[in-house]
Amino acid sequence: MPSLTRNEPIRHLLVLMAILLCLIGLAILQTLENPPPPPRPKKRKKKVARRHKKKTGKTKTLQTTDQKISHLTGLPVELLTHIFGYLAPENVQPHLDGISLHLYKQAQKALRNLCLVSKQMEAVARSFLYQGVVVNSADVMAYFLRTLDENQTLGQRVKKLVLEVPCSLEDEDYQKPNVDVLETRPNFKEIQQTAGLVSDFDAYQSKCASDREYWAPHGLDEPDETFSEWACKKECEVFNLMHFEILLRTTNLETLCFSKLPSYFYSCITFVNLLRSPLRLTAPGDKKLVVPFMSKLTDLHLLGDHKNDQHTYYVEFLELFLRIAGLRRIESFHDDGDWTHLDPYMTVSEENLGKSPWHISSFILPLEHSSLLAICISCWGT
Amino acid sequence: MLGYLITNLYFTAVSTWQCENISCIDLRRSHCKALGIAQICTGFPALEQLFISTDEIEIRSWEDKTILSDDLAKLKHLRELDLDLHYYGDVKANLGPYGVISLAGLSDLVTLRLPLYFLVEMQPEVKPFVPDMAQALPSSLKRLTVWANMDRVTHSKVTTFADPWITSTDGRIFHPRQSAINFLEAIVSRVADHFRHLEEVTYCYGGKELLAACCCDGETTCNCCEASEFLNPHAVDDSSARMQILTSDFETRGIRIRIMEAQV
Repeated sequence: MPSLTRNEPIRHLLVLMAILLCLIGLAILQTLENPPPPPRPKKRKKKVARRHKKKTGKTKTLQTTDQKISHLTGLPVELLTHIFGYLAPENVQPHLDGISLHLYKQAQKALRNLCLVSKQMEAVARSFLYQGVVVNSADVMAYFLRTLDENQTLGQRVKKLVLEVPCSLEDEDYQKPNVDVLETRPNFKEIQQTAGLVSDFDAYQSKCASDREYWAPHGLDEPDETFSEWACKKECEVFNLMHFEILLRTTNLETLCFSKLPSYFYSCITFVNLLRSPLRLTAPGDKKLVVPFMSKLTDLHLLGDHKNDQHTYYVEFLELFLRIAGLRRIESFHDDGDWTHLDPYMTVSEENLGKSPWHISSFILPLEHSSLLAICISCWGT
Repeated sequence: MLGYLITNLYFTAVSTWQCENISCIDLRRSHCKALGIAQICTGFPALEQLFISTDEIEIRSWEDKTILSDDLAKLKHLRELDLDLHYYGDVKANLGPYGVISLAGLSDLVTLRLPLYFLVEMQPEVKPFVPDMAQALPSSLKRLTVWANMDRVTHSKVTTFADPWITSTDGRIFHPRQSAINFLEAIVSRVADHFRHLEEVTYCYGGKELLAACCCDGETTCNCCEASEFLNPHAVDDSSARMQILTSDFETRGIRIRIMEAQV
């Protein structure tokens, strides 16, 4: 034991020497692997710098940045498309949690910034920016609709759309429809008019009066409806119109996710009626042109309220989409289970046919049928 | 007049739904009952995938004379079927002959997930009867999952599980653990001549009771342990021994068998 203690300092010394040797060896190896760049000829360097100063007068740092940008813009579109594809948001889904929503917004922001770099970049980045869109608040909805109306081609780029605007007063995130954003657009007069009715007490009173006139001959009292209930319905109608206008402009949609579906009957019915009107299926700005409505839709997600167990959505809502020829997949969450109401012949009875030639139950037309409808309409006109 | 005629012609031509193209329906937390399922099967004949999971719905009996086996038989192209139906009530009479579902006509079916209750016949005797699986299930199956939970207990208002047999209103019995073993034995016996494509068999069991911590005090058994005895084939020595033989039989035939506790 004593001999061991006496040898201790020598052993430490040996270990230290070994470590030193290792470090020296590593350093030599590194130098061999990455030899320092050969020094440039001094004369050439001076010439370049002088020439540059004479011509532009810019600093050296600026020149370097310009070169980098020119490298990126010099890439072919195919490569840019591939690179920007990595930036596109992957999680275009309903009910995103805080982190996922943040990631989605970050991706959108990055693409938006790229759109500001140059026209070439914009042309590539914009297709990814509008490829998948989550509309989750009244504000986002209004701005999105305005953008689609300002630039018709943008709507054609939307392939996946998540609509989850809280439209029910019971929803804690509920916001009133933001129609001010749409004020200057001529295509949204109906939305503006309906929004104007929300606070129009005179209109409410005249509606009550007409209700009384309707119910009195039947010996019945008019249904009770307070002004606030009426205003709520009108707000709901505004939301429905905005939903509809968005869908009308996203003609290449492949996946549609309708989240937070209105669980109360009135909203569902007004939306159904809205889409039932064939006259509405015309191109914005050109009322003679019948547009194919969501003819490329393959995936449909109808999702009820995931927070409230009591809120199921009405299966009738599905009826709107069942005429789309390309539809392949239906995903549903929290439906009311009343699938028996889905009767394909229910709306095509002879009674209905006799009423009006405009009562077209197949209001959602597949692409191949749209021309036939155009013929029908023109024949009727003659 | 011409316009009216053309419009009418147009209605008849295109007013029917385009349901024949829809190949997948996935309903989660649905309130769908028998008539709804029947309507889906009739209305969407081209379905290749059908998934229905329901909330806990209390029904006295299946509303009418709808037979689930007959409805599902309409889906000739079905490849995947997952019925996660949580009905409180005796629906045996509406499943098919002898209270057992029959899917033998679905010749394309590859993946199947069903409540075990749908595949086991309830008998007045103690021993649960499992019908010939070759008549109940198609030979094309590759992945088969059956599940059981405590629904069959709670619907009959039994608060403790002292009685090991879950009794239906007319005195017939269903015991998940025993039934599962009998069912698996019935499957393995027909692997050679019928289930030639079978690759994986799973028995899933679960329930709120199993999630609770054990609180047995030596004299009485807690709900958690009692639920486990009902559902888990490894919980009792006798069953465990049978399961070992079964596992070995399945593995010999190149079929993966899984017994797992999961949320069902």
